[in-house]
Amino acid sequence: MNNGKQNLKTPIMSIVSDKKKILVLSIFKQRAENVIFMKKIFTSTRIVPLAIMALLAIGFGCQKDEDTVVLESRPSDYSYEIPQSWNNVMVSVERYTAGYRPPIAARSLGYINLAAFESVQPGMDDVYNSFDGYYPGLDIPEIETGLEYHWGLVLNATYARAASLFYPTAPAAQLFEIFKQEDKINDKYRAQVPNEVFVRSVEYGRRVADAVYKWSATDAVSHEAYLRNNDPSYVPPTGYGKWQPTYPDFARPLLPNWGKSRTFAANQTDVCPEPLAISSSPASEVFKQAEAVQRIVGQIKAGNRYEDRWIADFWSDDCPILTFTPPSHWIAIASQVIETTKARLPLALETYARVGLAVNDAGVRAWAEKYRYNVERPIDYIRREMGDANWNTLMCPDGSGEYFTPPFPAYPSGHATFGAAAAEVLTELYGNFPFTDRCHEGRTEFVGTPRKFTNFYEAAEENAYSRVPIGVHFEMDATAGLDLGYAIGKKVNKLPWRK
Amino acid sequence: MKKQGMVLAIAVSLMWFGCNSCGEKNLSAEMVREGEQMIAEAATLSCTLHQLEDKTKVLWDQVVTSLDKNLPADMPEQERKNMLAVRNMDLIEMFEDYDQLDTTIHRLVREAGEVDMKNAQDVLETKRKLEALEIKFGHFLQKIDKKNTIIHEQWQTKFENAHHEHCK
Repeated sequence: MNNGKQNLKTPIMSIVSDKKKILVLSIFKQRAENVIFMKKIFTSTRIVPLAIMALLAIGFGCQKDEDTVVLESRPSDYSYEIPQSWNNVMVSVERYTAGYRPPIAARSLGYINLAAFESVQPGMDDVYNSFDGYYPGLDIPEIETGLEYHWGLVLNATYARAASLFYPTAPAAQLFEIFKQEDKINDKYRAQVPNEVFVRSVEYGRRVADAVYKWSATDAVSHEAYLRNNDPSYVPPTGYGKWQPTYPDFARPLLPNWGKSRTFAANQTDVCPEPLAISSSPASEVFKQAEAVQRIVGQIKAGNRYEDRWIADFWSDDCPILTFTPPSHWIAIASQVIETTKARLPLALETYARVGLAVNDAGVRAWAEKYRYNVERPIDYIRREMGDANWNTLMCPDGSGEYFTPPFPAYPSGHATFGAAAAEVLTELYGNFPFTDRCHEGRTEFVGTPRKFTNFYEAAEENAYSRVPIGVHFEMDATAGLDLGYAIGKKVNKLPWRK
Repeated sequence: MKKQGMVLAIAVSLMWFGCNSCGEKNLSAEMVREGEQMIAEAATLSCTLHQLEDKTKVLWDQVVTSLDKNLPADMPEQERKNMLAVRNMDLIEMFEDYDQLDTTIHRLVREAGEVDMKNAQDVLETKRKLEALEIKFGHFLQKIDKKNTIIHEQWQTKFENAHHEHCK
């Protein structure tokens, strides 16, 4: 299926380049003729020559449009701005749309950014491979050989169509944000390209988005999961140390079957080691880890340990509406990195696609392991085993003194898995990259002050650790999540992205 | 000089007429009708989208006004701000303080949520129709391309205007 796409670039680009040279010459020639013609009009006093010229002008004005200006449009001619602006829109739409909990948000970002990458791949196939046919059932339409495409318009059409397909339950106001984004980019390029190129590019972009969406819909577990965050038939296993719905809202378990969803690179061999045995013994490791959670949270609530409070708040992204989700935090980091490095479009698309696929797989494997081990949350352990019956976390304060705990088992940490998978792919692309994460800059409802990191691994490890001072994870959850995430990120890197 | 100016005016007029009439002559009445029909359809769809956008805004403005009046006075400022910014039934209902509001507000939010859901469906449907029409019109323009650039541009401009314009 991919054969037709592999060797397409060279002939197309050479044709376009030659044609462009000829056209540029003919345009200059045409402009020079116009100047001479107008000079004559203004200097001549004779009617007959003028009338002749006027008639010539009529003919000139009515000449057939054979010399349409052809824009040379290679993906590398573009900056990162189109994918960045679309990813900004998507993480905002996700924030205001019900049902987009972290693994579902990660899935949407994975598929949409894969579609975006695929839509432009034919224009950059000297460097990048297509995943057409690599995944059984994924059938990406081919471009028409020998015809010109405007990659900015192709990409815009793909993002716009994919966003409306993957966020179909977005409130009307959010849908309008998607359409405004589409119009903004279309309006920028519309006048620059011949009509047939516009139509061809937009049609192709939409067809790619439709193809990726069609493939995504064949995964019954995850398709439209925003409509069913819980499985009413699922009953969490009971037993000592097993997870049960937690105080204060005792919400139903989130996505207990998500571990059966499709992955792009990870598989069932991506697992976590057996967690520490839950024990009431003060000498046990799990008791010590719970004690650390209890102590740190207590100190923060007493107004101490500001750095830990900052870390806990900065990485939380737990509270629906307040911010985007944890996987989207890593998309936001990717956005900052591509902007800092002034990445060209091909690298920007690859970055978003790799991060998208990595966080999708992180969500699937973390959730598989969570519901395999069903380890309880610190709140239940601390209240039961440590004599602190009213202990609570720091997560999502509601203003009345109440705090929450995520409604699913603890081990491994989803945050840690998402972050490590993303950090691994970002490191592969950008190396040991120091950066300042400004994604929550200006927020006043929580401590969103930018944080500095010497590299992506440091950020991933702080992100994993942040779940301890916020009170929702044991240290073992963070460690296992990091290991799982790094392994997943490595597998995403091994996908055949480049030639 | 006066004579020269007249000649110039005549020449320019001839050019203008020539450029604008030769294309029309090349378009069949059927094509003109087809194009005008698509432009009218684009204007209608665009108008529907603008109406839906306005309707959505008014709908949630009303809800926000009612919520703002009825939220507990001691509700933390930021939480109040977040709740008022959400404009989504499911998300508003997730706030802890929501349960403390009276049933009239609950009904208002629920009704607004149902209308918004219907609006969102209509928005998506209308947008899809407009997208399909945009492509159809693009193919129509390709037929004109072969005949005349200026006429092509005029038709394109008409469609673009219809595509973006607010309701008349």
